[in-house]
Amino acid sequence: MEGDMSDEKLTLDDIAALIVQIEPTDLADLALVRKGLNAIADSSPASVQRPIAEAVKRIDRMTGGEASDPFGCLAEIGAFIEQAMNAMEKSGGEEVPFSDPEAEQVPIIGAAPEAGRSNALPPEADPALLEEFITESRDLIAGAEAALLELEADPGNTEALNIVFRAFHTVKGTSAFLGLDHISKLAHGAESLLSRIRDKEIHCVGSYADLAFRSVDMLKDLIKIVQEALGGKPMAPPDGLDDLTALLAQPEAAGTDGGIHDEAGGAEEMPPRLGDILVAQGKADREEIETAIADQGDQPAGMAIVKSKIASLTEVGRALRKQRSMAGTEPVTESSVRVRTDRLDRLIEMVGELVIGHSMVAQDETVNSGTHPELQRKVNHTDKIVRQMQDLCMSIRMVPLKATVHKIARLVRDLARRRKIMINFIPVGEDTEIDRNMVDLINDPLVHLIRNAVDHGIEPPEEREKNGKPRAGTLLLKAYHSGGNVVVEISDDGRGLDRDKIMQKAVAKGLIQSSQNMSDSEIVNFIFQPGFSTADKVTDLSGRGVGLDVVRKAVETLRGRVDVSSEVGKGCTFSVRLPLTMAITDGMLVKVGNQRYILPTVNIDMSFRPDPEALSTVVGRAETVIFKGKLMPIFRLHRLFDIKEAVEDPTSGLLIIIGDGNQRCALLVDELVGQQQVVAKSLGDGIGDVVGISGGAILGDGRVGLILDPQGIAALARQASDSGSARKVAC
Amino acid sequence: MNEIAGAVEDKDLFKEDLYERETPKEEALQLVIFRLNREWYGVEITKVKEVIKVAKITYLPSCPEHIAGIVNLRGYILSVTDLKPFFGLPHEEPTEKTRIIAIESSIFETGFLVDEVVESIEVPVSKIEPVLLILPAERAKYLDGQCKVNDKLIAIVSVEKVLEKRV
Repeated sequence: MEGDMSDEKLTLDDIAALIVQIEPTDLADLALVRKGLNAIADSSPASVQRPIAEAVKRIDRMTGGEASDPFGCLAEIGAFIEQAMNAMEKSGGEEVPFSDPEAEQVPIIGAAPEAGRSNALPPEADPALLEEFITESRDLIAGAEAALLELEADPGNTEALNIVFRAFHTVKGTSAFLGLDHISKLAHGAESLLSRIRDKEIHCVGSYADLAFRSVDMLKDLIKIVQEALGGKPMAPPDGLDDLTALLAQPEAAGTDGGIHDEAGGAEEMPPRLGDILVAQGKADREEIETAIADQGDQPAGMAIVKSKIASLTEVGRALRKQRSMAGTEPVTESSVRVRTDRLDRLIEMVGELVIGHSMVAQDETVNSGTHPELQRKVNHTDKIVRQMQDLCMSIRMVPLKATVHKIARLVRDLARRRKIMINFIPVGEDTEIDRNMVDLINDPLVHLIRNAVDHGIEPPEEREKNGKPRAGTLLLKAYHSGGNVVVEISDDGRGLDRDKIMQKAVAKGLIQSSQNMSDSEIVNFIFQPGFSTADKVTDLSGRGVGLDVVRKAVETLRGRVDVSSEVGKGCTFSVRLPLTMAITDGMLVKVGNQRYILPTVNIDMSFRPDPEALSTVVGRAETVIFKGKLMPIFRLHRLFDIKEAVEDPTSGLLIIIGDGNQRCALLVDELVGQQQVVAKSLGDGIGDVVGISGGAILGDGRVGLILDPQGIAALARQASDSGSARKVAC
Repeated sequence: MNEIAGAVEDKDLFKEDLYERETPKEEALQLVIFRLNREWYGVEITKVKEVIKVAKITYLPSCPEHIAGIVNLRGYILSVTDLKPFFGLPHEEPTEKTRIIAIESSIFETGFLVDEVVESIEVPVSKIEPVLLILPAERAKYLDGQCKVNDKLIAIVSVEKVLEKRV
């Protein structure tokens, strides 16, 4: 950093300001500090020299790489410098002016912003959520702006209009959710204006278009302010916001008021005041700071604050650094770039192919014959690189579940308030990573399960007390990796599932005759059946006929599965098991005739070769097998897919149990070839959907293998048995 | 393309035995000639992306007859169209000579499964005749025309019509 400082003689204050801003790994800065400290020590009394010597010792330890905790070490150094400063003051040493250039720009903290204006973020606002809101809104507003331009040129362009409308609508909804009232108010105004345009009441031309653009500009300013507020700056609505909101409510005023103001409210460009930053960070009390600054009016604010011991040197330094980064007109350099996901997908696919292509080379006879050791060595070398590349590629797409968990935490809080119950939400493993593409897709199922737990699971405090439970319920969300899968468990300590009630309902719905021979887990899994709700009444939270079957379906399309276990009165645990990524499928390679198929491992319950006595037929046709005391139908894959030269006799083939609940069935294949990870792809242009096949994948030998879709196979089998032997289905 | 402009003027001078001289003076179609069973067909070279030696074709269950399956084309999955059902030809097992002609089209990409790819020739437009009327209409609609080259009758396949059927 400040290279220009190296030539000048550093004062203790300079060093103090420096030490809190440097990175512990920045050796050049550390050396600079060390040099400055030594220079000061030479011309200082012994009481000052001692802490300086200690600080220098720490610096040496850091530069020598011996410090186990560099940040802690840095803090210690800071503390010693503070000691030195105090000693310097006591000894009557020559007071050096606080010469931090940034500090001099800091205006002395003045009167607090006017009362009545919201000058801080909503207290419960979650920084992660706000960040997301900012990014999302920026994209939306950018899109809206482009669409508005289009709309102005072509007022009949309904698609552009819808883009703008949706943007405002989304911003309105999210900002209201986050408690950013003035944003939602503005977005609401803009939305009403656009809905009038949509209803063809007015046209998006002239002053109406101006108004729409002004709203976009104002939203941009507002979002900038939110971002700045995240950094600790007080949040003051820009000038002209109220005017614009009023104008949006009465757009006709804009028509008569010919002069549309050019500036859409100037967001203050001044850097935030140091005192404000400290107050916003909760490091200091506003009154204390104001008194401190009033007392030592002619000193820089930072110095005054440190002197009056309101905040420590470290904290002031940190605030100074923040102030500087915020004062910069350019946003802080981003450490990430946005890449289109389709490009990323293609890259990952290509790397997948590279891995396969490379393994073909590695397995080539010439390489493995042992006559070319040099070649073999080179191939091995490439092998390592390819593997690393594959790992890297996979990690590129991985993001932690944190954002999802935070959203859920907020949801739990709101739901609990609405139901007037108390819930301790405990998230565990929010750093668990999952494919970026999956994050959005698992959100809905998880939210559904959470709603379910809050609405049906956890009892009101009085009821809990009566049952000897703590008044507040516990909702545990636990995410972890297990065998190439991500598992998300949602456990509550509420009522649990009522086995008898579920059974009655299952019998009433004709799903089972009686509960004989049914395990508890089989019974509780009935709740995933369509239309299976044991909720007695419909609330606005759940029980609206959208049942857990939706959750299961959603999870299954992600090639995952959802299970439930429960104990009456003690609680209930849903576990959602998902593949790490949709790009790679863990599968079993099975052979049928001369064809090979990939059956996703997650769909496989078990595979076995049946004993002849376990097989039977019903009405001379429907083949069944007894597995674990249960009859289940056998579907012959070779018949469904019309494959010749396949194993006909189940006792010499292999039965694979797939599906669950009453959808369970045994699939007859010739044999299991092995386990394989494959990159799932679509079936190619012009093929469309093929019943029973979810996609294709390039196998190790370069051939395309088909990935089986168990649900589709079950549907195909039922269709086949319904219509006799009709097998050809139009694609 | 300059040749085409010039071709109109020179047309009459070079009218005789244009093909033998191989002078590209007249507007001509470059065709890739292939074999289906014992018949000869052609497809415009501008619509051909590449000719690939047949890898093992993966059969797709419950699909129409004219979809032969899918193959791996350097990591892409390419669907393979069997042309024989379009022309009422009997199915034959693939041989050493079997090829897939990868077709480039704005509709979608597919490969035509053919028994053999022979050569690529240039045929003057004037030599292309309409399809014989004796062909049944549902076969003829997949052809753009026919021409006679070296005593071989070559039927020109209409890529668009075939792909339309596939969609």
